[in-house]
Amino acid sequence: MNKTATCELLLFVSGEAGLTLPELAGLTELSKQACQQQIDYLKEKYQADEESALTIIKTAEKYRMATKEEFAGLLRAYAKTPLNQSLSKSALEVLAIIAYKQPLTRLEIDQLRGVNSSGVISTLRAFDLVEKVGELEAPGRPSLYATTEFFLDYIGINRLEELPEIDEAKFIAEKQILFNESEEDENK
Amino acid sequence: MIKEISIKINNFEGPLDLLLHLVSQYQMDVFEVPLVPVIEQYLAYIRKMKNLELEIAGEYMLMASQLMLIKSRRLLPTLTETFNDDTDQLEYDLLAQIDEYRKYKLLSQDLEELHQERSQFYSKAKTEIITDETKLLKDRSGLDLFLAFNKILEIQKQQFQDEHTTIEAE
Repeated sequence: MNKTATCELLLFVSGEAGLTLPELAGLTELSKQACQQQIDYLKEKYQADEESALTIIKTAEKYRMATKEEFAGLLRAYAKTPLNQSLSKSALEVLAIIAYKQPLTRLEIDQLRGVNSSGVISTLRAFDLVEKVGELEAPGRPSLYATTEFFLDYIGINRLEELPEIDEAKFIAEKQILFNESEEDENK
Repeated sequence: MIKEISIKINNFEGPLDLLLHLVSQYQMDVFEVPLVPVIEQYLAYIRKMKNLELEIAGEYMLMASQLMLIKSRRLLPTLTETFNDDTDQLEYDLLAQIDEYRKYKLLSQDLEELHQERSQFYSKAKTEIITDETKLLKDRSGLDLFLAFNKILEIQKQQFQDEHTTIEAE
């Protein structure tokens, strides 16, 4: 059996679940390095072939066969998976807080936002973006929340270390974009 | 002077978001902002909302009372050094809270951008391969079944909400 075909086959079958390099190596009985080469080769082959709609992406340390970016518009109406849907502003805020400060309790999230977050947390849990990872040794034994592996896939990174840094300069630039207000009527 | 209020309270993710909006008009470091005018604007805002008989979440009221405390202490003559220190601490805590909230608000926008990039790529569901040799692991319980179906319901509910949120005309 051809090695490249084997890798392609496994990636196709695993679909959105994807496969890690060790998993691929175990199934194909190749070394991890050889697997990596095959994947790179496949990806290049797809990219070079304009008659192919496929590509290979790596998120949350798993290789996944996916469609090329330029077809997103065409697929948006057809495919509706949680991965390709946007979250509400409040859900994103809570997700950001959990992503950067994990593990933390609901109370800590509430204090940071100044509003109750329990509804939003259950939404995020339903989408498998955050999960309970234990309890705090404190009165009431509150649950601790952290992000899941799916969260990494959701924002397309492999490790939490790859989360974007806080950009102070950006704040000045976009201070009022949200509200579309001109500066004249502010300085009264 | 309070400028005309052109935005509804629903545009904000709570009192901190509203305060951040008011503070950001000063276009300077959060900790340099004169608090008393900001507090006055906030209270005026809440009053206006009440006059328009809009629903105001309890959290806004709680914040209003905290702000009133800061303002009233600012206006009182200084009795002792500790009184002054306490007031400064109250202000500092509030500003620190606004600053921290601002950080996560920005980061959440960054995450959304990342997600937008990621969502350009579509995959198919995993192919379930069934053979005669397939053995059931029997590692799932009734609870797993309940949670799995519950999750589907939750996601459906969320999607329905997202797609059917309408804004009523006045």
